[in-house]
Amino acid sequence: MDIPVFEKLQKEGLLSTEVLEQIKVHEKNRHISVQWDLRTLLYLSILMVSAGLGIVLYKNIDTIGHATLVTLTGLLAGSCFFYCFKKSAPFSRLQVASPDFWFDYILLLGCLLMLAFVGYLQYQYHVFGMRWGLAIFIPMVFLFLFAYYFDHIGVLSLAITNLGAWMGIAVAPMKLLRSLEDSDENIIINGVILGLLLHLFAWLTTYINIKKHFAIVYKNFGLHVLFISLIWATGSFDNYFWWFLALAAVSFYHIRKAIAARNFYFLVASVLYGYFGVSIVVVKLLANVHSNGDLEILLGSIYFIGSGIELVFLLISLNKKFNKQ
Amino acid sequence: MIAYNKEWLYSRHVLAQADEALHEQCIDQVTFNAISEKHPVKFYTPNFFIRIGLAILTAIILLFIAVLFLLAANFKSAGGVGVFIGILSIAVAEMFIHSKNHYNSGLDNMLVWAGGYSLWMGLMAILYEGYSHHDVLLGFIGVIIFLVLAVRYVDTICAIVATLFFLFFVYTAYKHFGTGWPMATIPFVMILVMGVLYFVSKRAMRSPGMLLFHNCWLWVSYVALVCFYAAGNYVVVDYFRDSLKTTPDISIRGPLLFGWFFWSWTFLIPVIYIVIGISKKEITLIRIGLPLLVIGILTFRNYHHVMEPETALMIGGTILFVISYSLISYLREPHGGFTFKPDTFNKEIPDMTKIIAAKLVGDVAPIDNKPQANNDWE
Repeated sequence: MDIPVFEKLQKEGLLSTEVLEQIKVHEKNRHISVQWDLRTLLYLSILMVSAGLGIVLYKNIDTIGHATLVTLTGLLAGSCFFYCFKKSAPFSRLQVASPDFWFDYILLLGCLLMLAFVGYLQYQYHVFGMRWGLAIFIPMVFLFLFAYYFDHIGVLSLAITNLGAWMGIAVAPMKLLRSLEDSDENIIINGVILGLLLHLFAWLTTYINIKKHFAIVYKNFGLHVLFISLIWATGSFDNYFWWFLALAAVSFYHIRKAIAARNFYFLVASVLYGYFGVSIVVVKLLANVHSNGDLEILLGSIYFIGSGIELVFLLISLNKKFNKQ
Repeated sequence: MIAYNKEWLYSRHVLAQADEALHEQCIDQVTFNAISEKHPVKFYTPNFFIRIGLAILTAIILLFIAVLFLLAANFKSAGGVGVFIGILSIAVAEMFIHSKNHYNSGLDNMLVWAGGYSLWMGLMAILYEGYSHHDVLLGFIGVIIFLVLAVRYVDTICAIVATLFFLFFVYTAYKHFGTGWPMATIPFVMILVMGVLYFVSKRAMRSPGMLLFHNCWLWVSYVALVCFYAAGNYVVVDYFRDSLKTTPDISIRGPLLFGWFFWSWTFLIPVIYIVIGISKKEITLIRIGLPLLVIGILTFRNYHHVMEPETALMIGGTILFVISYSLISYLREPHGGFTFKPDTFNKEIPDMTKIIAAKLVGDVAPIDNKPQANNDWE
């Protein structure tokens, strides 16, 4: 705290001498928090040791053998989960505090080791045969279960990422049958489905009242996935009109929801994503104008300047509206 | 001199201090209310995310205004367009500041930054042709433009950019003395200049007249600290010597002249930063010193292959683990002015950043999703 400022406040009669002295004593005895720094160092040290260990194992795989390594990884993951089950409080629908400082780290380590374990099994021994999707689906189910049981947003994020990977992989074999453009279309449609699915999860979480605080995580992932997929669809498909309509509807829905919930983050994201979508359509339409190029640039620039200014005033007025509420 | 209302800027600082005092329970709500009544702030500073949105939109608008003018000029005289856009955006910033009381609204920040950059680019394009000391001028004009903007708009980013331009200016100007002795002494000159800049900024931070520029000076001091180290780091000195080798007089190979000095500098300076940081309770010095120490070690490994990377990683990781684990245990109760207890007062970070962080690093780092539990060290 800036002591001279408080001395001035005291001279202005806004602080008593006792309070000023109290502030001075407080500032003198103040302790600087190094929690963030030490946590980062601890995390880095674990990362360094595991990276070093990983390289050693990789270099000596011939002498160690795959079987030993897989067993070791599985055992380590198992012991992490054993610790977590032993330490954690019983399951609750509400938010639960983690029992101690190490719990979060060990749970996350266990989950990462589990992913490595299953991946290794599939890569080396083809446990799931040619069904590569299954090698992602099974750990994903466990990740969701652990995220809910141990109440861990980090693990939930991992599970959602895996869900996306699973949906991406599920369409990949079709690449063999279809052309590149078609498989891109599949990925985009899967993205839209994933976005909608995550919105559904967010709604269900609140509706059936189970770990309500997870809803915001689902919604955050869902919003970005859905918007990016729709913008991609609008930009790359020939019959973009319907995709654009869907994008406009989603933007409208999210802007209304964000205003109702007074959520600035979702509001700005929805407004900007919607704006990008509209701009893509405008640029596409301008590309159809047949001139020597100058007219398109002129019209495009006027559009971006005009719409940009309009949106600036819109954001300013929305901010004022929020503050008044 | 300052574009913003100085009284409100001061009141803003007072309120930030009072807010912290309230949080630390040094003053009560009644006192806080009395202070905020006596020190009103009427700036227009919207929500953090609205600010980001406004800044992005302003950048888009400015970009297309530039395109429009370039089109009008038939894509010739880019320099003139640059200067015009620069003056225009700074004039618009002034208008928003004076008529709408914008302060850190995203809009005024972007207008000032883009204005400065555009002005600098424009001037460089105009002056480029037929000037032999173009590189020196590049730095000099950068210093002037961004220094003026930093002073007028109390802007930390402009202050940092001005400092970097100053560094570049000193380097290029000194280089023009020739290729013999000036080249061998460049590191010492840079060390001296950055050292002086650090002490000037430290003095300025203590001066009551510089209260409103405290943050600018603070960041200038950080840049000076890092550059002070970099100027004497072995690999940096070696790189610049190599980069200058194209000139005919220089035929230096092998170890550096004053090599022992630069090696000691590479390792000693970070340690000194950390030691001073601990003794003076300056956390930033420690935060700068630690990565610099890692850079020092990497610099050494760049020249001397002492052990395999995996062995180095494991040994380094183990040492780091032991140190951080012991420090966490030791600082459960405050010692020497430091504590492992979290700093609950946070002025800057809005709640949603946690969610963004969860999204970005969710798959690599543990997320503090249970704040009340993180204090429980058992």
